[in-house]
Parts: sequence; C-alpha cells; structure tokens
Amino acid sequence: MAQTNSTAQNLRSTLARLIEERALFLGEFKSPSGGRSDYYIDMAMIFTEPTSLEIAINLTLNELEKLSVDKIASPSVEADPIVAVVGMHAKLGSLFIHQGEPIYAYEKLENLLNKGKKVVIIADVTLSGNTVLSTAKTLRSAGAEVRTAITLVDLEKGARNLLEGNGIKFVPLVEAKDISVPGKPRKGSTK
Amino acid sequence: MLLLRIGAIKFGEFTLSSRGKSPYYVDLRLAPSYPDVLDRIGDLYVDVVKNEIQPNWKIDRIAGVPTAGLPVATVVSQKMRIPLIYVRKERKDYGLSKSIEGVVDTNDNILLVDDLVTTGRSTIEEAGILRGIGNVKHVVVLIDREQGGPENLIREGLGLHCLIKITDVFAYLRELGAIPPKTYEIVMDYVKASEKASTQQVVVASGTNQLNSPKSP
Repeated sequence: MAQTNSTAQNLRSTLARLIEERALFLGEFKSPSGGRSDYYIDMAMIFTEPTSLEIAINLTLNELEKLSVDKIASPSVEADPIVAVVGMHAKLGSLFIHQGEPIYAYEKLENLLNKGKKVVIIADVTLSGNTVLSTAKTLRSAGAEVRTAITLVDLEKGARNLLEGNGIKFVPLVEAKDISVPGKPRKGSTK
Repeated sequence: MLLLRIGAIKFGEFTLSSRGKSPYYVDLRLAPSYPDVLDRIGDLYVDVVKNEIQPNWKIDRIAGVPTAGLPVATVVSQKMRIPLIYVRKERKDYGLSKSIEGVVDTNDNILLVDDLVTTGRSTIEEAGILRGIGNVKHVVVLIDREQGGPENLIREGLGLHCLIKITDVFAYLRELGAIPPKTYEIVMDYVKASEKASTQQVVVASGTNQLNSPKSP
C-alpha cells in the first residue's frame, strides 16, 4: 500500500479536514498527564467510522514502511483501534500498554518481544507527550528498542521536545497548525 | 490450536475477574500480538455475523468492549464497513468526559461483539448500557466458556453466537496430545460444576422477557 509523497500529502490534508468536521470539539480540556488545550481532538470519531479509519490506516502504514520495525504499541485505549488494524494490515504484532502498564494478565512483555525488539509507538493524540514517554519507558525496561513514535495528531504542547530529548524520533501525521479551529485560523500552509 | 500457540489459553490456577478460581485462563488480548491470528479471528467473526445474524437483522453499529474486546471489534467493523461504537470502562476526567465513543442514533440496531462469555453477567451489563441508546438483540463472541452464558443471555432477550465452545477446544487439544489427560479431566469437571452453579444463581436474579432468538450452533 505504498503511497507517493503527493498521495500521502493529500491523505494528510484529507485527514485534517475530517478531523475538523468530525473530531474537533471546543472548550478547555485537560489531558491525563496534565496538558491543557482550548480545543480537543477526539480521534475515536475518526477510528469508529470505516472510511475515515481507512485514511488513518493508510497514512500510518505509509510512515511505518519507511521504518525498520518488529512490533507496534498502543499507549492508551483511545489508540487501540488504530493500532490493532494497522498491525493486522502491516503484518506486525500489536502491544497494548495503557498508562505505562501492559494490559496482559498472565503474559510477560519480555515474551512478546522475543521475536523482535524494535517497537514503534502509535498514539492517537499527543499533547505533552508524557503518556507516550511512560509507554516507551515500560517497553524499554522489557528490552524493547523504542526509537520512533507516530502520532495521528500532535497538538504541539511539548511532545516533540520531550520525546526527542529521550531519544524518540517524533512523527506527527497531522499537526495543530494543519487544523483550523473556529476563531483560530490555520497558521500558514501545510508543510 | 491457534490460541494455545500464542499463549492465549493457559492451564494452571487462575483468579478470574469474578473472584472465582479457574484451572484455565483465556486472554484474547494477546491475539493482536499475532497479526495473522487477529486477521483469521476477524474473518471467523464476519462469517458468523453474515450467516447467522445479517439475514434477519440489519446491523447499524458494531459495539466493542474495551479493553480485551475492542481490537477485534475494530477489525470486524473495518472488515464489514459498519461503524463502531464503544462504551468507555471508566468515565475519563479529561478530554470530553463522555462515556460512549462513536456516532449512534436512537433506534440503531447495535451488534455487541466481545471476546468471550462466561456466565454472561458482564455481557448483560454492557447490553443494558447499549439498550439506553439503541436496539441490542445479538451478541457475538469467540469463546463460550460454557458456564451458563447462553441461557442467562436468552433470558435477557439476547441471542448468543459463539465461534467456539471451550469444551470443544479442550477435546481438540486432548486429541492432539497438546494437554495431558489429567488436565483435560480437571478443566472438564470445572466447566460442568461451574455451569450448574451459575445457571442456578442467575435464575433467581433475573426474570425478564423471553425471546425467540436463534441459539448459537
């Protein structure tokens, strides 16, 4: 499912428009790790609808193809749907680590990593990046190599600095500047 | 066999979420770690839905149950191109603080997709929440642990469609020599004993409408 750069660019702006239409909510919001925003993106509105889910899948697959990766990981329940279907299409195993804890009752994370240790984290929305970082720490302490985190939407509240400062390449598919919030016009053009 | 290979079925002594002890444990949260298994399981769900439910009932939404059932429900939603909804386990105190994710209309027909059924208690609770939004008549699960689930669900007007019964899994594993005869006996005795206990218990607790839903094969 390789996309040319321009197709990927089109998918990015399509996803940004879908987010504006379906997933953008106004008001003051707090993230679980304490980040704040005056609007909120609910990616469940994208992942629960088959057509927009497919766009999100294709964009994510396109980024994964550029990487050397054995497994992908979800940092939260919100990201589980996209991680599960992307894993299936990319033929990569998915791991679920919620709020820094693996969700498995009787299986050790180490055992799930024994066939390949390169793990890419895929988040739905990032603000401060704290949730992704604590997921990376859990994975690393189980022996994983975590060098990249993909996020569907970055609200530009510090995630890039935090993650890159911890040796994690940060790949947002859509950024706050790509989204126009009513009363807050999109800054500049998409990159 | 797929499930044993990936460690989704384990034998030993386990404490269940219902506080009871069990000599075996099924954890389908491991399935997505093996993309071929997730894909295959997704196809099995789709077959059952197409053959047993869709001929008589139009499905508007697929409801997943976090956390164990959400990945497979998403896969089924994507394969069938039917929108997904899910009820959040805990109301989050951040973001939008709402408990239903996805878009759903009053009177939508909602198909509940979960990983497994034990006594049916948690499935009935989940269906109860969804019935506050739309119509819920059918539940599809991968595994029926055969501890009174189908009987208890029917009493609540819910038809259970399961892909595999746990005793069939055990019989198959014994035939392959994948589990020792002793283990087989222990788990079969456990299923029999707990099936009795569970149906007796829940009979007292419920007494609502009967429904002529198709029973799982």
